[in-house]
Parts: sequence; C-alpha cells; structure tokens
Amino acid sequence: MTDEHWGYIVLAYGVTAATILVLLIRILLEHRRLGGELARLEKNGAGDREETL
Amino acid sequence: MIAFSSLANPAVFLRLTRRVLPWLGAASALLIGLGLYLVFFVAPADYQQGETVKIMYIHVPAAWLAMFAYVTMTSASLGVLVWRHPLADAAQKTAATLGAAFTFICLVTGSLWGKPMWGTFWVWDARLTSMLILFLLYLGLIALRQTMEDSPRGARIAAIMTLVGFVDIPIIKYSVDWWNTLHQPASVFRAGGPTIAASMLWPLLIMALGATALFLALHLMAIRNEILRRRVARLALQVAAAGEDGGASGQLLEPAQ
Repeated sequence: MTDEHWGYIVLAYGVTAATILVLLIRILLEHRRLGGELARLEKNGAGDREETL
Repeated sequence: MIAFSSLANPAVFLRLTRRVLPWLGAASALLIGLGLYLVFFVAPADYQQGETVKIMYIHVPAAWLAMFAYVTMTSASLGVLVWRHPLADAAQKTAATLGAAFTFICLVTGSLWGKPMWGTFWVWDARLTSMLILFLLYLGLIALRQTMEDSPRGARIAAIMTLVGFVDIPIIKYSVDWWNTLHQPASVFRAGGPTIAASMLWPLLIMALGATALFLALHLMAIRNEILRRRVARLALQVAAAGEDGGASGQLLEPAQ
C-alpha cells in the first residue's frame, strides 16, 4: 500500500458524494419548480383539488 | 390501521411520505455518518488490499442498491401490468434514474478499486460486464420513458421492457459462481455465512443500511415530484381547454418564473 492509493480512495468517495448531491439537488429543485407551478395554476382558477394521477 | 391499498391513493401517499421523509433523511444521515466514522477511524486495513479496502464500503452498498432499484422497478412493473395503478407507474419510472446513479457509482468505484488491486480499471469479466449491461438497461428505460407520453400504453410498454431486463439480475448475482471471474465471489450473502471479518462487516452493513435509507428517501421524493408533475400537466390541459371554450386568457399557460 502506497500513499498514491489514497488518490483512488478520495476519488471514489468524491464521485459518490457528487453523484448523490446532483441527484438530491435535482429532485429538490424540481420539487420547488413544480410546487410553484401548481400554486400558480390553482391561483388562476385551475384548481381541481382531486388527488388523482 | 391504514389499509395497504389506501397507500396507493396519491393524497394518502403524499401525506404519509411528508411525515416519513424527515425521519428517513435523518436515519440516512446518522447511519452514513456513523458508517464513515467506522470506515475511516475504526475498521482495519486489509492485509492484502491495505487502505484501498475502504472503497469497498461504498462500492458494495452501491452494487446492492443498483440491483435493489431494479427489483423495485420490477415489482412496480407488476403493479402496472396487474392493477394498472398510476402510482406503481410513477414508482417504476422514478426508480430508473436512481438505479442508474447507483450503478454508475458501483462501476466507477469498482474501477477505482481495480486499478491499484488488479492493475487495470476494467476487464470484460462476467460480473463487470453484467453490471455494465444493467447500467445500459437503466439508460435504455430512461430514454424509453422520455420518448413516450404519460399514457397507460407507454406505462405498460416500459413495464414489459423492465420485466424482460430482470433476467440480468440473477446473472449479476451468480456470475461469480457460474463463470471463472476475476471479481471475487460473494462474501456477505452466501450459504455458509459471511467470510468477512466482523471488524469490517459491521461498518459495511451500517453503510449499506444508511445508503438504503438514502435510496428510499430519494425514491419517495422523486415519486412525490412525479405526482406533482402529472397534476401540473393535467391542470395546464384544463386551463388550455377552458381557454379554448370560454376565451380565457392565455396568461395561464405562461411558464412559471
């Protein structure tokens, strides 16, 4: 085991953290965008409050 | 007690997941935090791999979740085909992105472990190849969903494709037994019990539990988004129809700021 192997370890954990963060941020931003759009539509009178898909 | 079938109601689902998500997120953060502490400050270096074994603590949970996501998609696909429930379709659709992400993590961390240990980032070994096929399956299913509208027919086609792709899961699991592979055989879930030392097994299991809680939290959040997205699309259509019928103003269709 040499010190250079730490580079692989740091890279592995870095890629993992970055991937999870991108997923999380993407989901949160999407939620915010959709929430805003839904509120705007309901405010403009398109509000059927039925909880259907 | 809430009947299982009532959970399939989007309103109940949204209400319940709003309550569950903070706990799931907290559990995930605590378990991963504890797991990382054990990995970097308690778990010993491997006598052959040295410190490079630390990559295993993320590689193995990512591999398990890559397959778990596909099993989730397959179960949801059965829900689509048998009960034709839109919530099952939302679960199937949203799990694909998460599955692709965890498969990507598995492939990258495996390559980064392979270079110092095997001397190469990649070999066309049965386990590695079948995992790459899983990644391509996820990408194919994501592309398929993007080309189809949110129609029941589109949902059924995606569900059938998912079921066909399920054949890769047992191949991944048993590839190390069926073929001579460079990848090591199973060392945790095997008939004779784990072969891994307890000092390494516990950090691995805690990391796996934390990653599973994270996956579940992300999946629930993504399903909630999908429910909202479909509701927005339906309301936008209603507004458009009302505009055509009664000359309602077009401002309702302007994109959100």
